[in-house]
Amino acid sequence: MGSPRLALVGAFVVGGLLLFAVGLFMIGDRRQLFTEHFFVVADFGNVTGVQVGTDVRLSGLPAGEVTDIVIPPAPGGRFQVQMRVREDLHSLVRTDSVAAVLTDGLLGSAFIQIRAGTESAPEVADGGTLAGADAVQVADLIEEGRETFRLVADEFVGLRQEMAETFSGLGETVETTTLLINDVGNDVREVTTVSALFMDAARGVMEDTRGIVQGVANGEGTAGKLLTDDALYTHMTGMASEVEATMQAVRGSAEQFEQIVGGLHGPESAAQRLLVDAGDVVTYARDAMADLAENTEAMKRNWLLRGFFSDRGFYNLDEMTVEEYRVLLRDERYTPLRIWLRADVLFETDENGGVTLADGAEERIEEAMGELLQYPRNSPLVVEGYATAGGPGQQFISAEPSRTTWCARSAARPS
Amino acid sequence: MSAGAPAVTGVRLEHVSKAFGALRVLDDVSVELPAGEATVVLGRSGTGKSVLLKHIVGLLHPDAGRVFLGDQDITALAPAALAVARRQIGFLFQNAALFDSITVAENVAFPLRRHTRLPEAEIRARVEEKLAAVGLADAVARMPAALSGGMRKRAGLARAMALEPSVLLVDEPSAGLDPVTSEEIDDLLVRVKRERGTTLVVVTHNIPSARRIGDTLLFLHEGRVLARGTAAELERSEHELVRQFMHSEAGG
Amino acid sequence: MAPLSSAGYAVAFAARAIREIFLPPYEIKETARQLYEVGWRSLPLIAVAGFAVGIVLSMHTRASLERFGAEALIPAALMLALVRETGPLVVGLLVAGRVGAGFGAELGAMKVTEQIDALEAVAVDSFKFLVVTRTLACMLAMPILTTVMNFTGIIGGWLAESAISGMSFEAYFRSAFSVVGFADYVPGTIKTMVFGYIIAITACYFGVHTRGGTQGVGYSATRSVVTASILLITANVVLVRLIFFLFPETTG
Ligand SMILES: Nc1ncnc2c1ncn2[C@@H]1O[C@H](COP(=O)(O)OP(=O)(O)O)[C@@H](O)[C@H]1O
Ligand SMILES: [Mg+2]
Repeated sequence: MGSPRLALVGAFVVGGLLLFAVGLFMIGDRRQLFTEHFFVVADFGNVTGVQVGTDVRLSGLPAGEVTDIVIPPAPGGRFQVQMRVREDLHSLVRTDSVAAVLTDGLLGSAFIQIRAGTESAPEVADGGTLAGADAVQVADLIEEGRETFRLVADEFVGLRQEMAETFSGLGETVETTTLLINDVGNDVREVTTVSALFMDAARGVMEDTRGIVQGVANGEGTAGKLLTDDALYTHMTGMASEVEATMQAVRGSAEQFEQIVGGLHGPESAAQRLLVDAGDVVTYARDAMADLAENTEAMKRNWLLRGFFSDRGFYNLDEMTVEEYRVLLRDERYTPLRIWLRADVLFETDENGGVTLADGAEERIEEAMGELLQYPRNSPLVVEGYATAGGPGQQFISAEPSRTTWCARSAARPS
Repeated sequence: MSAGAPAVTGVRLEHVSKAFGALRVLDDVSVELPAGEATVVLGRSGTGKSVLLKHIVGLLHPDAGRVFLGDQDITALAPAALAVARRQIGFLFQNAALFDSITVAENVAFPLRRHTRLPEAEIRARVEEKLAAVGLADAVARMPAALSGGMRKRAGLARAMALEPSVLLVDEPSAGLDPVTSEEIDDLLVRVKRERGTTLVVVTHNIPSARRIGDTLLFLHEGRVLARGTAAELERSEHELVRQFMHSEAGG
Repeated sequence: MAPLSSAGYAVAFAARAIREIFLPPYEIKETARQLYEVGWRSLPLIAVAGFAVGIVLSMHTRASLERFGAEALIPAALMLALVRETGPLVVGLLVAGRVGAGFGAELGAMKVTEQIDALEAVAVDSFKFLVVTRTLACMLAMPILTTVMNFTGIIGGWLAESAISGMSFEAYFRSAFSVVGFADYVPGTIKTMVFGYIIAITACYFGVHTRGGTQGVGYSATRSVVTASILLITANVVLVRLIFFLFPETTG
C-alpha cells in the first residue's frame, strides 16, 4: 500500500470524525452545551411532563434544560430534578429563587420556570439547591396569571386526551359536512348521523370543562383552596370565565348546528321539507359551521389552549411572516379568486381628512362578495391592501387574521 | 532465520492416515525424508502426493499418525508454534497460489516483510536475486494474472525460496514448462540442496527430472508407499506398475 | 455439515473475529488497505445515494407535514428520519451489496486458488490477516460512511426544499439540527458498527468456506449479499429496541 493511499485513508477517517463532530456540535450548540453553565437542583413532589431535556426558563427566558431526574427512594419522597442553567444568568439565580413546573398554556408542553431571587440573597452555588414549588406552595410565588393557571391546568390534564379526540373529530366532521353540503341533495341523512354523533361527543367535553371551571370559581378542589388571595382570585376567575365563555360559544354554535340537522329528523318529515327548500338548510348549516369554526378559532387564540393547537401545526395569519404568507397563497390546492377593488372607487376623503366609504362602494363590495358564494363559507377570506407606489416588498402591509383560518387547511379545498 | 549455518532439518511421517469423507487418501504412511537430501514423490494423479506435502506444512491435519519436522511433532503444535515452525519451510503450490492482488516482486517480498526486519534495499536485492534465479528478472513489476502458467510456477518457486528455508516442498515444478526451462529449474533445485543443505521434497510426473533431482524416489499408490529407492532401484521394482511408470515416461 | 453444527461453527467464527480484533499482532497495514477499499472507495456511492435519499425524503416529509401546516418542521423531520434510521439502514444495505459481494468473491477466489493456504504456508495467520482486518475496517468505515450519508442527505434535502421555498442553506442546516438530540444521533451512527461487523463476518465466512471452483466463488458472493442484508435488517430490529431501552428519550 503506497503512501498516497495511506493519506486517503487518513483523510477518510479524520474527515469522517470531523463531520461527525460537526453534528455533535450542532446538537450541543442548540442545547447550549457549549456556552458556560452551572447546575442547580430542585425537588418536586410531582414532575408531570418533565423529562431529561425539558426546557428550563428564567422569568420566561430560555435558560437551559433538565439534565437528570432522581427518583425518590421511597413513596412520599421528592423527585430531585437537576438542571443546567446558562452561566450568564447566574447572577439572577439566588438562594431564595424558586423553581416550578409549568405548562405552556393549558395543553402545551411542560417546562421548569425559575423565578429570579431577591438582591439581598447570595447567588446559588454551582450544584446548589433551589426550593421546588409544588402546587400548594405556588400560591405564594405567583407573579402572573400564567403561573397561576398551572394549577387549573393540573385538573385539566385528564381532559387533554378527550380534547384531542374531540378536535380531531371536529376537523373530520367539518370536512365531511362541507363535502356533504356541497352535494346536499344526495344524502342528507349522512350529515345528520355523523353530525349528531360528533355533537354528542363535543358537548360531553364542553360540559366537563365547564364543570371544572365552575368548580374553580366556587373555590372547590386543590385549585379552589388556593384562592385566598383576592388578586389571584380575580385574576383566576377572569381567566376561568374567559375559558368558559369560549367553551360555551363553541357549545352554542354546536347546538345551533345540531338543531338544524336535528330538524331533519323531526315528525314533520324533514326529508320532504328538504326537497322543497334544501337551499335554506344548506345556508343555515353553513352559517352554523362557520360559527363553530369561528369559536374554535377563538379557542385557539386563548392562551390556555394555544399550546394544544400550536403542537398540531395550526397557524395564525397574524403571526405569519410575509414569506410564509406568500407561500400559502401559492398553495396549489387552493384556487385563489382575486377580486381587485380600486381605492379611489371605494373610499373618499371628507373635509376633516377622515376616510369614509364612497357612494356605491357598498354595492360594489357586495357584488364582489357575490362571486365568493360558490365557495364554502369557511374558506379563508383574505383582505389585502396594496399601495400603488414602491416595490413589491413595500406593498405588503399586513394580512388581517381571517376569522376562519382554522378551517382553511382542512375544509377549504374547492371541490 | 538468517542464511547462516547449513540447515539440517529432516521430515518424518509416522503412520499418517487421511481420508476426505469416504475417500481414503493416505493409509498408514510412514516415511523418512532425510535432512539435506532430495526426495522425489511419484505416483498417478490423485493418489495424494499434494495431500502428503500439505501434511508436512500442517495445512492438513492427519486423522491418525504424526508428522515430525526435525524432532518436533507439528501435529501437536498450537497455532502460534506451528507458525514458527512453518518459517523453516518453503512451499511451492501445485497451482503456484500467487497472491493476485500484488505484483510478482511483492509476492516474493511478502515472506521477507512478514518475517524479517531486513531493510527495504536488502529486501529488493533478495527479491531480484530469487527472481533472477528462476529466470523472471524482467517480470518484477507484473501482476500474477498477467503471467503464463509456467511463469507463475517459477514466481511461486521464488517466493517459496525467499526465506531460504531448510525444507523446500515443491509440487510439480516442471508442469507447464518447456524442457529447457524445466531443466534449468531442476538445476536450481539441485544447486540449492547442495549449497545450502536444503531438504527437498519434489512432486513430479517428469521422470527425467526425477532422476536429475532425486536422491531417493517414493512411489505412492492407493494411499501407501508402494516403492522407495533410487531411480535405478525403482526401475527394477517388483511392482509392475512402478516399472511401467518409470519406463513409460522415461522418454518424456 | 449439518445445519445446526454449521450454524454453531458460524457463530464461533463470528465470536473469534471479535476476540482477535483485540489480540496482537495487529495487522495495521492490511487493515488500512481494507479501510481504503471499504471506506474511501465507497464514498462516491454513499454520497450520491445520500443525496438522492435526501431529495426523496424531503419530498415525502413535505407532503405529510404540509397537511398540518407544519412546513417549518421539514428540515428537522428529515434530519430525524435520516439520522435515526434511514441513513444507517441505507448505508448498511449499500455496503452489504458493494463490500459483501467484494469480500465474498475475493476471499472465495483466494480459497479456491489456494492463496489462503499459501498465506498459512508462509506462517501468516490467515484468519487474522483476512477476516479480522476486513471486519475491523468495515466496523470503522460504517459510522463514517453513515455520517457522510447523513450530511449529503441534508444537502439533498436542502436542494429539494430550496427549489420550492428558496430557503438558505444555513437556515436549513440550523433548522435540521433543531430537533435531533444526542440520543438520536450517536446511537444511530454507532449502531452501524454492528452492521459493519455483520456484513464483514457474513461475507468472510462465505468467502473462506467457498467450495467448487469459480462457480463456487460467484455463489459465495451472492450468498454473502443476501445473507448479510437479511441479518442486518433483522439485527436492526433488536438494535432499535436496545437503543430505546438504553436511551428512553428517543422514544418520544
Ligand atoms: N481438501 C480436500 N477435500 C476433499 N478432497 C480432497 C482435498 N484435497 C485433496 N482431495 C482429494 O484427495 C485426493 C488426492 O489429491 P491430491 O493429493 O491433490 O492428488 P495428487 O496426487 O494428484 O496431488 C484426490 O482425490 C482429491 O480429490
Ligand atoms: Mg497434486
